[in-house]
Amino acid sequence: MEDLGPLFAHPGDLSDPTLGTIAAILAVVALGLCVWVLVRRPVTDALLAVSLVTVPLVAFALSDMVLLERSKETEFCVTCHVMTPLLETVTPEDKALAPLHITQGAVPTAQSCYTCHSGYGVHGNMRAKLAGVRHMLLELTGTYDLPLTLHGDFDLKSCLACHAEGLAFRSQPAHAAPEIQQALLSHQMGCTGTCHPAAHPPQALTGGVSQ
Amino acid sequence: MIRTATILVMLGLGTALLVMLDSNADTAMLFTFVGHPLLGAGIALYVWSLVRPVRMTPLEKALYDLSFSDLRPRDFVRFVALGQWCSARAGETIVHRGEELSEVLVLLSGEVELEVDGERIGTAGAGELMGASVILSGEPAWGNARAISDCRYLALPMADVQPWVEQNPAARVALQATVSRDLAEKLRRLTQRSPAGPTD
Repeated sequence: MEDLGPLFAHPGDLSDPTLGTIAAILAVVALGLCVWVLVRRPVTDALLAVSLVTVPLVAFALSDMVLLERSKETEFCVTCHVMTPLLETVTPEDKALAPLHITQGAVPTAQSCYTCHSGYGVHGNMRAKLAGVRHMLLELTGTYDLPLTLHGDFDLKSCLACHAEGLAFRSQPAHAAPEIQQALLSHQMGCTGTCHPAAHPPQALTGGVSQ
Repeated sequence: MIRTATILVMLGLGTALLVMLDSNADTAMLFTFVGHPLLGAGIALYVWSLVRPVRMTPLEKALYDLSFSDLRPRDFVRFVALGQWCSARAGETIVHRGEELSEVLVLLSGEVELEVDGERIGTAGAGELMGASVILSGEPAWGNARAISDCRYLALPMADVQPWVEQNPAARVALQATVSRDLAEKLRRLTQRSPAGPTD
Protein backbone atom coordinates (compact mmCIF):
# COMPACT_ATOMS: atom_id res chain seq x y z
CA MET A 1 0.00 0.00 0.00
CA GLU A 2 1.24 3.49 -0.89
CA ASP A 3 2.75 5.41 2.03
CA LEU A 4 0.68 8.59 2.42
CA GLY A 5 2.16 9.73 5.70
CA PRO A 6 1.70 9.00 9.42
CA LEU A 7 -2.04 9.74 9.44
CA PHE A 8 -2.61 6.75 7.19
CA ALA A 9 -0.50 4.34 9.19
CA HIS A 10 -2.53 1.55 10.75
CA PRO A 11 -2.44 1.78 14.56
CA GLY A 12 -1.12 -1.78 14.55
CA ASP A 13 -1.86 -4.83 16.65
CA LEU A 14 -5.30 -4.39 18.21
CA SER A 15 -4.67 -6.93 20.95
CA ASP A 16 -2.70 -5.82 23.99
CA PRO A 17 0.92 -6.89 23.41
CA THR A 18 1.68 -6.60 27.14
CA LEU A 19 -0.63 -9.48 27.97
CA GLY A 20 1.09 -11.69 25.39
CA THR A 21 4.49 -10.79 26.85
CA ILE A 22 3.28 -11.56 30.38
CA ALA A 23 1.85 -14.91 29.22
CA ALA A 24 5.14 -15.80 27.50
CA ILE A 25 7.19 -14.81 30.57
CA LEU A 26 4.88 -16.82 32.80
CA ALA A 27 5.24 -19.86 30.53
CA VAL A 28 9.05 -19.50 30.73
CA VAL A 29 8.88 -19.20 34.54
CA ALA A 30 6.66 -22.29 34.71
CA LEU A 31 9.09 -24.19 32.47
CA GLY A 32 11.96 -23.12 34.72
CA LEU A 33 10.10 -24.34 37.80
CA CYS A 34 9.43 -27.67 36.10
CA VAL A 35 13.13 -28.05 35.25
CA TRP A 36 13.91 -27.21 38.89
CA VAL A 37 11.50 -29.94 40.01
CA LEU A 38 13.17 -32.43 37.65
CA VAL A 39 16.77 -31.75 38.67
CA ARG A 40 16.35 -30.85 42.33
CA ARG A 41 14.15 -33.67 43.61
CA PRO A 42 13.01 -34.12 46.30
CA VAL A 43 11.11 -30.85 46.48
CA THR A 44 8.39 -29.70 48.87
CA ASP A 45 4.74 -30.47 48.23
CA ALA A 46 4.04 -26.75 48.03
CA LEU A 47 6.70 -26.19 45.35
CA LEU A 48 5.36 -29.16 43.39
CA ALA A 49 1.82 -27.80 43.49
CA VAL A 50 2.98 -24.33 42.41
CA SER A 51 5.25 -25.69 39.65
CA LEU A 52 2.90 -28.28 38.20
CA VAL A 53 -0.50 -26.71 38.76
CA THR A 54 -0.72 -23.05 39.78
CA VAL A 55 1.79 -21.32 37.51
CA PRO A 56 1.09 -23.50 34.42
CA LEU A 57 -2.68 -22.99 34.82
CA VAL A 58 -2.25 -19.22 35.05
CA ALA A 59 0.13 -19.28 32.07
CA PHE A 60 -2.39 -21.31 30.07
CA ALA A 61 -5.33 -19.10 31.07
CA LEU A 62 -3.43 -15.98 29.98
CA SER A 63 -2.26 -17.66 26.76
CA ASP A 64 -5.87 -18.66 26.01
CA MET A 65 -7.03 -15.09 26.53
CA VAL A 66 -4.27 -13.72 24.31
CA LEU A 67 -4.92 -16.32 21.62
CA LEU A 68 -8.65 -15.60 21.64
CA GLU A 69 -7.85 -11.92 21.19
CA ARG A 70 -5.26 -12.50 18.47
CA SER A 71 -7.53 -14.90 16.61
CA LYS A 72 -9.86 -11.97 15.89
CA GLU A 73 -7.28 -10.54 13.55
CA THR A 74 -7.56 -11.00 9.81
CA GLU A 75 -3.84 -11.74 9.72
CA PHE A 76 -4.51 -14.79 11.93
CA CYS A 77 -7.50 -16.02 9.88
CA VAL A 78 -5.54 -16.10 6.65
CA THR A 79 -2.82 -18.34 8.09
CA CYS A 80 -5.19 -21.21 7.23
CA HIS A 81 -4.36 -21.78 3.60
CA VAL A 82 -8.00 -22.08 2.47
CA MET A 83 -8.50 -18.50 3.62
CA THR A 84 -5.62 -17.00 1.67
CA PRO A 85 -7.60 -16.50 -1.60
CA LEU A 86 -10.24 -14.57 0.34
CA LEU A 87 -7.64 -11.98 1.30
CA GLU A 88 -6.29 -11.86 -2.25
CA THR A 89 -9.69 -10.73 -3.57
CA VAL A 90 -9.74 -7.69 -1.33
CA THR A 91 -9.14 -5.14 -4.06
CA PRO A 92 -11.03 -1.96 -4.96
CA GLU A 93 -12.00 -3.61 -8.23
CA ASP A 94 -13.84 -6.49 -6.61
CA LYS A 95 -17.50 -5.70 -6.02
CA ALA A 96 -18.31 -8.56 -3.64
CA LEU A 97 -19.57 -7.31 -0.27
CA ALA A 98 -16.53 -8.24 1.81
CA PRO A 99 -13.94 -6.51 -0.42
CA LEU A 100 -16.33 -3.58 -0.74
CA HIS A 101 -16.66 -3.17 3.02
CA ILE A 102 -12.94 -3.59 3.63
CA THR A 103 -11.65 -1.30 0.90
CA GLN A 104 -14.16 1.40 1.83
CA GLY A 105 -13.14 1.19 5.47
CA ALA A 106 -16.65 0.14 6.54
CA VAL A 107 -15.16 -2.53 8.82
CA PRO A 108 -11.83 -2.42 10.69
CA THR A 109 -9.25 -3.84 8.28
CA ALA A 110 -7.33 -5.66 11.01
CA GLN A 111 -10.45 -7.52 12.20
CA SER A 112 -12.52 -7.61 9.04
CA CYS A 113 -13.29 -11.37 9.09
CA TYR A 114 -14.23 -11.30 12.75
CA THR A 115 -16.37 -8.16 12.49
CA CYS A 116 -18.83 -9.74 10.06
CA HIS A 117 -18.58 -13.43 10.99
CA SER A 118 -18.62 -13.26 14.78
CA GLY A 119 -22.29 -12.39 15.04
CA TYR A 120 -23.62 -9.62 17.22
CA GLY A 121 -23.01 -9.15 20.95
CA VAL A 122 -21.47 -11.39 23.58
CA HIS A 123 -23.29 -14.48 22.31
CA GLY A 124 -21.91 -13.76 18.87
CA ASN A 125 -18.41 -13.60 20.31
CA MET A 126 -18.87 -16.92 22.09
CA ARG A 127 -20.30 -18.57 19.00
CA ALA A 128 -17.36 -17.22 17.02
CA LYS A 129 -14.88 -18.79 19.46
CA LEU A 130 -16.62 -22.16 19.23
CA ALA A 131 -16.75 -21.84 15.46
CA GLY A 132 -13.01 -21.07 15.55
CA VAL A 133 -12.32 -24.35 17.34
CA ARG A 134 -14.45 -26.16 14.73
CA HIS A 135 -12.55 -24.42 11.93
CA MET A 136 -9.22 -25.50 13.45
CA LEU A 137 -10.46 -29.10 13.68
CA LEU A 138 -11.54 -29.00 10.03
CA GLU A 139 -8.18 -27.52 9.02
CA LEU A 140 -6.31 -30.08 11.13
CA THR A 141 -8.19 -33.04 9.69
CA GLY A 142 -8.55 -31.55 6.21
CA THR A 143 -12.25 -32.44 6.25
CA TYR A 144 -13.66 -29.15 4.97
CA ASP A 145 -15.62 -29.09 1.73
CA LEU A 146 -14.76 -26.85 -1.18
CA PRO A 147 -16.07 -24.46 -2.27
CA LEU A 148 -16.36 -23.02 1.23
CA THR A 149 -19.91 -22.32 2.37
CA LEU A 150 -21.28 -20.56 5.41
CA HIS A 151 -22.04 -22.95 8.26
CA GLY A 152 -25.57 -22.14 9.40
CA ASP A 153 -27.40 -18.85 8.92
CA PHE A 154 -25.54 -15.58 8.73
CA ASP A 155 -26.35 -13.42 11.76
CA LEU A 156 -28.30 -10.55 10.26
CA LYS A 157 -27.62 -8.47 13.35
CA SER A 158 -24.00 -8.20 12.21
CA CYS A 159 -25.26 -6.14 9.24
CA LEU A 160 -28.00 -4.34 11.15
CA ALA A 161 -25.67 -3.25 13.93
CA CYS A 162 -24.16 -0.76 11.47
CA HIS A 163 -26.87 -0.32 8.86
CA ALA A 164 -30.19 -0.36 10.77
CA GLU A 165 -30.06 3.29 11.65
CA GLY A 166 -28.33 4.47 8.50
CA LEU A 167 -30.33 6.86 6.33
CA ALA A 168 -29.48 5.06 3.09
CA PHE A 169 -30.68 1.76 4.54
CA ARG A 170 -33.86 3.22 6.01
CA SER A 171 -34.80 5.12 2.88
CA GLN A 172 -34.65 2.03 0.68
CA PRO A 173 -38.30 1.03 0.04
CA ALA A 174 -37.43 -2.68 -0.28
CA HIS A 175 -36.13 -2.70 3.29
CA ALA A 176 -39.41 -1.27 4.57
CA ALA A 177 -41.58 -3.91 2.84
CA PRO A 178 -43.08 -6.10 5.60
CA GLU A 179 -42.78 -9.36 3.62
CA ILE A 180 -39.09 -8.71 2.92
CA GLN A 181 -38.43 -7.85 6.55
CA GLN A 182 -40.17 -11.07 7.58
CA ALA A 183 -38.19 -13.10 5.02
CA LEU A 184 -34.89 -11.58 6.14
CA LEU A 185 -35.54 -12.00 9.88
CA SER A 186 -36.65 -15.62 9.42
CA HIS A 187 -33.54 -16.32 7.30
CA GLN A 188 -35.68 -17.41 4.36
CA MET A 189 -33.86 -14.69 2.49
CA GLY A 190 -30.40 -13.21 2.83
CA CYS A 191 -29.05 -9.77 2.03
CA THR A 192 -26.68 -11.26 -0.50
CA GLY A 193 -27.51 -13.11 -3.64
CA THR A 194 -30.93 -11.57 -4.45
CA CYS A 195 -30.43 -7.84 -3.91
CA HIS A 196 -26.79 -7.41 -2.96
CA PRO A 197 -23.67 -9.03 -4.39
CA ALA A 198 -22.27 -12.19 -2.80
CA ALA A 199 -20.15 -11.68 0.32
CA HIS A 200 -17.08 -13.14 -1.37
CA PRO A 201 -16.32 -13.74 -5.04
CA PRO A 202 -16.87 -17.44 -5.90
CA GLN A 203 -13.27 -17.92 -7.05
CA ALA A 204 -12.08 -16.97 -3.53
CA LEU A 205 -14.03 -19.81 -1.93
CA THR A 206 -12.23 -22.65 -3.65
CA GLY A 207 -9.26 -22.60 -1.29
CA GLY A 208 -6.99 -21.87 -4.19
CA VAL A 209 -8.07 -25.06 -5.94
CA SER A 210 -9.46 -24.77 -9.48
CA GLN A 211 -13.02 -26.09 -9.56
CA MET B 1 5.02 -40.49 38.29
CA ILE B 2 5.91 -36.92 39.32
CA ARG B 3 8.68 -36.94 36.72
CA THR B 4 6.24 -37.98 33.99
CA ALA B 5 3.71 -35.38 35.16
CA THR B 6 6.41 -32.69 35.08
CA ILE B 7 7.47 -33.63 31.56
CA LEU B 8 3.85 -33.57 30.33
CA VAL B 9 3.29 -30.12 31.87
CA MET B 10 6.56 -28.89 30.32
CA LEU B 11 5.52 -30.09 26.86
CA GLY B 12 2.16 -28.35 27.29
CA LEU B 13 3.91 -25.15 28.35
CA GLY B 14 6.13 -25.41 25.30
CA THR B 15 3.06 -25.16 23.05
CA ALA B 16 1.81 -22.13 25.04
CA LEU B 17 5.17 -20.44 24.56
CA LEU B 18 5.11 -21.21 20.83
CA VAL B 19 1.67 -19.71 20.35
CA MET B 20 2.64 -16.60 22.30
CA LEU B 21 5.76 -16.11 20.20
CA ASP B 22 4.02 -16.68 16.88
CA SER B 23 0.22 -16.87 16.79
CA ASN B 24 -0.91 -18.55 13.61
CA ALA B 25 -3.27 -21.36 12.70
CA ASP B 26 -0.60 -24.05 13.13
CA THR B 27 0.62 -22.96 16.59
CA ALA B 28 -2.98 -22.30 17.67
CA MET B 29 -3.97 -25.85 16.68
CA LEU B 30 -0.94 -27.28 18.45
CA PHE B 31 -1.73 -25.29 21.59
CA THR B 32 -5.45 -26.08 21.54
CA PHE B 33 -5.43 -29.76 20.58
CA VAL B 34 -2.07 -30.90 21.97
CA GLY B 35 -1.02 -28.38 24.64
CA HIS B 36 -4.24 -28.41 26.63
CA PRO B 37 -4.52 -32.24 26.79
CA LEU B 38 -0.83 -32.43 27.77
CA LEU B 39 -1.31 -29.95 30.61
CA GLY B 40 -4.50 -31.74 31.69
CA ALA B 41 -2.77 -35.12 31.68
CA GLY B 42 0.21 -33.74 33.63
CA ILE B 43 -1.98 -32.17 36.31
CA ALA B 44 -4.21 -35.26 36.49
CA LEU B 45 -1.15 -37.45 36.97
CA TYR B 46 0.16 -35.14 39.70
CA VAL B 47 -3.20 -35.13 41.50
CA TRP B 48 -3.37 -38.92 41.16
CA SER B 49 0.06 -39.18 42.80
CA LEU B 50 -1.40 -37.29 45.78
CA VAL B 51 -4.62 -39.21 46.19
CA ARG B 52 -3.81 -42.72 45.04
CA PRO B 53 -3.70 -45.36 47.78
CA VAL B 54 -0.22 -45.86 49.25
CA ARG B 55 1.23 -49.26 48.45
CA MET B 56 4.16 -50.59 50.46
CA THR B 57 6.28 -53.60 49.65
CA PRO B 58 6.41 -56.27 52.39
CA LEU B 59 9.87 -54.98 53.40
CA GLU B 60 8.62 -51.41 53.62
CA LYS B 61 5.52 -52.46 55.57
CA ALA B 62 7.64 -54.37 58.07
CA LEU B 63 9.99 -51.42 58.57
CA TYR B 64 7.09 -48.97 58.83
CA ASP B 65 5.46 -51.03 61.60
CA LEU B 66 8.78 -51.47 63.40
CA SER B 67 10.14 -47.93 63.47
CA PHE B 68 8.35 -45.32 61.40
CA SER B 69 4.66 -45.50 62.22
CA ASP B 70 4.82 -41.80 63.25
CA LEU B 71 5.33 -40.87 59.60
CA ARG B 72 2.40 -40.59 57.21
CA PRO B 73 2.48 -43.70 54.96
CA ARG B 74 2.88 -41.51 51.85
CA ASP B 75 5.85 -39.69 53.42
CA PHE B 76 7.35 -42.98 54.55
CA VAL B 77 7.28 -44.43 51.02
CA ARG B 78 9.06 -41.31 49.72
CA PHE B 79 11.52 -41.45 52.61
CA VAL B 80 12.38 -45.10 51.98
CA ALA B 81 12.85 -44.34 48.28
CA LEU B 82 15.82 -42.16 49.28
CA GLY B 83 17.68 -45.18 50.67
CA GLN B 84 18.91 -48.52 49.50
CA TRP B 85 18.12 -51.97 50.84
CA CYS B 86 21.28 -53.89 51.85
CA SER B 87 22.11 -57.31 53.30
CA ALA B 88 24.96 -58.51 55.52
CA ARG B 89 25.90 -62.08 56.37
CA ALA B 90 26.60 -63.15 59.95
CA GLY B 91 30.13 -62.11 60.88
CA GLU B 92 30.34 -59.38 58.26
CA THR B 93 31.44 -55.95 59.48
CA ILE B 94 28.94 -53.31 58.43
CA VAL B 95 30.67 -50.27 59.92
CA HIS B 96 34.42 -50.06 60.55
CA ARG B 97 35.95 -48.05 63.35
CA GLY B 98 37.27 -44.69 62.14
CA GLU B 99 35.02 -44.73 59.09
CA GLU B 100 33.38 -41.42 58.11
CA LEU B 101 29.72 -42.33 58.07
CA SER B 102 27.53 -40.79 55.41
CA GLU B 103 24.53 -43.08 55.89
CA VAL B 104 22.14 -43.90 58.69
CA LEU B 105 21.32 -47.59 58.80
CA VAL B 106 17.96 -48.95 59.89
CA LEU B 107 17.90 -52.64 60.76
CA LEU B 108 14.92 -54.55 59.50
CA SER B 109 16.00 -58.02 60.59
CA GLY B 110 18.96 -59.72 62.27
CA GLU B 111 21.18 -58.51 65.06
CA VAL B 112 24.33 -56.39 65.07
CA GLU B 113 26.93 -56.12 67.82
CA LEU B 114 28.80 -52.91 68.50
CA GLU B 115 32.34 -53.43 69.75
CA VAL B 116 35.21 -51.16 70.68
CA ASP B 117 38.71 -52.59 71.06
CA GLY B 118 37.36 -56.14 70.98
CA GLU B 119 34.79 -55.47 73.72
CA ARG B 120 31.11 -55.72 72.95
CA ILE B 121 29.43 -52.54 74.19
CA GLY B 122 25.96 -53.28 72.94
CA THR B 123 23.73 -54.80 70.31
CA ALA B 124 21.15 -53.47 67.93
CA GLY B 125 18.12 -55.38 66.71
CA ALA B 126 15.28 -55.07 64.26
CA GLY B 127 13.87 -51.58 63.97
CA GLU B 128 16.88 -49.83 65.50
CA LEU B 129 18.93 -47.07 63.93
CA MET B 130 22.70 -47.30 63.57
CA GLY B 131 25.05 -44.41 62.91
CA ALA B 132 22.62 -41.64 63.86
CA SER B 133 24.60 -40.60 66.94
CA VAL B 134 27.90 -40.80 65.02
CA ILE B 135 26.54 -38.57 62.26
CA LEU B 136 25.01 -36.17 64.79
CA SER B 137 28.38 -35.86 66.56
CA GLY B 138 30.22 -35.33 63.28
CA GLU B 139 33.00 -37.70 64.34
CA PRO B 140 34.21 -40.89 62.67
CA ALA B 141 32.73 -44.22 63.84
CA TRP B 142 34.15 -44.98 67.26
CA GLY B 143 33.62 -48.74 67.02
CA ASN B 144 32.90 -51.64 64.71
CA ALA B 145 29.37 -52.80 63.91
CA ARG B 146 29.37 -56.50 63.06
CA ALA B 147 26.42 -58.67 62.06
CA ILE B 148 25.78 -61.46 64.59
CA SER B 149 23.17 -63.02 62.33
CA ASP B 150 22.17 -62.43 58.71
CA CYS B 151 20.88 -58.87 58.50
CA ARG B 152 18.67 -56.86 56.20
CA TYR B 153 18.88 -53.10 56.58
CA LEU B 154 18.07 -49.82 54.85
CA ALA B 155 20.99 -47.46 54.20
CA LEU B 156 19.83 -43.84 54.05
CA PRO B 157 22.38 -41.35 52.65
CA MET B 158 22.31 -38.22 54.80
CA ALA B 159 23.07 -36.06 51.76
CA ASP B 160 19.59 -36.97 50.44
CA VAL B 161 17.79 -37.36 53.75
CA GLN B 162 18.82 -33.94 55.12
CA PRO B 163 17.26 -31.80 52.35
CA TRP B 164 14.18 -34.03 52.20
CA VAL B 165 13.63 -33.69 55.94
CA GLU B 166 14.15 -29.92 55.77
CA GLN B 167 11.51 -29.63 53.09
CA ASN B 168 8.97 -31.82 54.88
CA PRO B 169 8.25 -30.27 58.29
CA ALA B 170 5.67 -32.89 59.27
CA ALA B 171 8.07 -35.70 58.40
CA ARG B 172 10.88 -33.96 60.30
CA VAL B 173 8.83 -33.92 63.51
CA ALA B 174 7.93 -37.59 63.09
CA LEU B 175 11.53 -38.59 62.33
CA GLN B 176 12.85 -36.59 65.29
CA ALA B 177 10.44 -38.56 67.48
CA THR B 178 11.73 -41.82 65.99
CA VAL B 179 15.40 -40.87 66.52
CA SER B 180 14.70 -39.64 70.06
CA ARG B 181 12.89 -42.88 70.94
CA ASP B 182 15.76 -44.89 69.50
CA LEU B 183 18.39 -42.95 71.44
CA ALA B 184 16.33 -43.14 74.64
CA GLU B 185 16.04 -46.92 74.27
CA LYS B 186 19.80 -47.24 73.73
CA LEU B 187 20.49 -45.03 76.75
CA ARG B 188 18.10 -47.11 78.85
CA ARG B 189 19.89 -50.34 77.88
CA LEU B 190 23.27 -48.75 78.53
CA THR B 191 22.34 -47.56 82.00
CA GLN B 192 20.84 -50.95 82.86
CA ARG B 193 24.14 -52.59 81.87
CA SER B 194 26.31 -50.17 83.85
CA PRO B 195 27.42 -51.28 87.37
CA ALA B 196 25.81 -48.19 88.89
CA GLY B 197 22.42 -49.27 87.52
CA PRO B 198 19.78 -47.04 85.97
CA THR B 199 19.71 -43.37 86.89
CA ASP B 200 17.05 -40.74 86.38
